[in-house]
Amino acid sequence: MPEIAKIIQNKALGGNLYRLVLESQSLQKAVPGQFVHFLVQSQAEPPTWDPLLRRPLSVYDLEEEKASFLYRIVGRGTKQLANRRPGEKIDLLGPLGRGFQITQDPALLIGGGVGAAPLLFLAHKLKEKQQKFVVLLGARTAQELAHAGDFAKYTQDLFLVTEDGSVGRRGLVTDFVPEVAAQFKVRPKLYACGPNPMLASLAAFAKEAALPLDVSLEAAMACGVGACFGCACQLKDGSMARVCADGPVFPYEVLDWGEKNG
Amino acid sequence: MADLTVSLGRLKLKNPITVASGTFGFGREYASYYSLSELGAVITSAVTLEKRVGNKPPRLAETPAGILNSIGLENPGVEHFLQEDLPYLQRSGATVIVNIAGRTVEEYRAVAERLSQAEGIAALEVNISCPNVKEGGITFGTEPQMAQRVTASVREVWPGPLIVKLSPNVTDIALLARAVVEAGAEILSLINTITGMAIDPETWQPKLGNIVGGLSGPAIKPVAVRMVWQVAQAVDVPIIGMGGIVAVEDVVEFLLAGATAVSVGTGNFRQPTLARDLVGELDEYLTTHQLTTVQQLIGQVGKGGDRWRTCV
Ligand SMILES: Cc1cc2nc3c(=O)[nH]c(=O)nc-3n(C[C@H](O)[C@H](O)[C@H](O)COP(=O)(O)OP(=O)(O)OC[C@H]3O[C@@H](n4cnc5c(N)ncnc54)[C@H](O)[C@@H]3O)c2cc1C
Ligand SMILES: Cc1cc2nc3c(=O)[nH]c(=O)nc-3n(C[C@H](O)[C@H](O)[C@H](O)COP(=O)(O)O)c2cc1C
Ligand code: FES
Repeated sequence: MPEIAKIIQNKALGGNLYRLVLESQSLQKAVPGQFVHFLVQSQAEPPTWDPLLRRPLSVYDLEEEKASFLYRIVGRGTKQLANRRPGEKIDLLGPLGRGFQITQDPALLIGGGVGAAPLLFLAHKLKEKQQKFVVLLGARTAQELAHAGDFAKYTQDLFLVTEDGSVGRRGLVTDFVPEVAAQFKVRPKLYACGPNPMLASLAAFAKEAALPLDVSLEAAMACGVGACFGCACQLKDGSMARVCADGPVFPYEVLDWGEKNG
Repeated sequence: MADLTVSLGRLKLKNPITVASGTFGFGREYASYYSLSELGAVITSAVTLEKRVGNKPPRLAETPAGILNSIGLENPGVEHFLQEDLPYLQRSGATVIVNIAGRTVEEYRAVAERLSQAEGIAALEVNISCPNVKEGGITFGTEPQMAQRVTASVREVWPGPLIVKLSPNVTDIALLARAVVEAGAEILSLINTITGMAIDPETWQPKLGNIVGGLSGPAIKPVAVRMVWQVAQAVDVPIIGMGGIVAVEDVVEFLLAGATAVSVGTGNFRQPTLARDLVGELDEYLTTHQLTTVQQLIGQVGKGGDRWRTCV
């Protein structure tokens, strides 16, 4: 059922990034990699039908009654979301989709930009399970890594990469994956979320290095529940999968990394 | 409680609220939100003779108060539908209307024939907004003679209530309405999506993988209401109206324009319980307006003489 949840925090972190914290009953059962479909408009005013659709956001973390989200303003929907104030209500649907397949392997978490969102919750779970994991986060600039501090709560094995070198190493996050992966004593499983070119590059690496890799995909969504086939992505066997219901997390080897998903 | 039942000729519905083809899958995804038996009917996603994988992604682009889609009728084919989806819908207690599509007249006929062998289908809805691959890709629903041929050939093999779903991408919707009624359509549903296109100003690329798609949602409602009203003047068969319904006022508008029932499409995406909620809200609307039956709303906006034929 859709839930009308209370906003506890909706805070600008810098670099157009925001952290949204809610008090929610229905999200208690969420697992890392699942997402929530939000109506971004004010619940206090009569509905407007623009933007019409909900907006999907990954669960960033879950602590007791509190579910948090990390989002970046990219258009009119996320802009309206940033206008919501603590104390207001928000209409949400979720948790939706299938999350990461957490294995016993040591883990390497790789986040590009705001794609880091589902990885914090994963880091939280891995810490609870006392599993070894390393987090590698990349962004264009230090500002766009405003979420790095949240990860420091769960691990000291945190590598930062920026394209302009303003914090951490300079380059693309994918440039450093082979090096970091090689430091594991036991072969790691990779978990990644970020822009498609980054995921495609990781898929090529995972294949070459014969490492398991789960990727969390993005696609424009309408229903978010698997009914409309609007969020389709191409699978290697020629069929289609629904990012919202069959994903958003997929083992990389089932996906077609050709032009169709790019 | 007001009397919400409606009759579309032989097709009787417990209330006038149905869900539009392609926006509700085969019901499974929404059944966790409410019982499908609460709806007037579930109209399924398009069913074709063979499985279809649909169009290349991306398939959705949001536009002002609407969406463009180019799903391409992705569906598992009629045999899978009969084995897995129809039994599911029947168990759910839903009144089932099956939407069918094809690439040739023969394909439409073959799907209808196969479905006529099954039990528990309340009606067929024929989606004629598909290109005819044998005749240069012209959309069946935009050419009166082709629309008639599809309708007539389905009519020959399907004995139950027959709905033909009109395409709005025509100059004169009344002409098409008359044509398919002549060929055997008992009920008309309208409108399907309006062909549209969106381009990303940064990448200079079309936003849809298929380049063009179908526009739906509140943005198209005035066009849909006008077309329902025009068709109601042109033919004597019952109408299922749709296009942009997101609130009970929209339902009322379609009924006043001459629809006997309505379908909720894109609105389901925004609020998964919308169609079910509208059943209760329609009842409330009738009560607050001191009406006892839905019937009292249908077609209350009359002909209006020749006023509408002037320049605007
Ligand atoms: C499963 C999933 C999880 C996501 N998690 C997060 C997250 O945790 N944090 C975050 O900042 N963003 C996340 N996104 C992306 C986020 O949903 C989009 O940035 C947002 O919908 C854009 O809305 P807008 O109105 O601001 O932009 P607009 O460009 O105005 O949006 C127009 C339409 O395009 C779609 N759209 C636009 N950009 C994207 C995109 N990059 N991905 C998917 N759909 C898009 C929107 O859903 C909308 O329908 C996620 C997307 C998916 C599919
Ligand atoms: C994602 C999507 C898929 C659709 N698929 C079909 C379909 O398979 N067959 C069909 O006849 N109409 C299809 N339609 C059209 C709808 O049934 C409906 O006629 C149209 O969307 C207008 O109603 P709405 O504005 O309430 O969505 C589809 C619409 C959408 C948005
Ligand atoms: S968004 Fe409708 S099927 Fe995924």
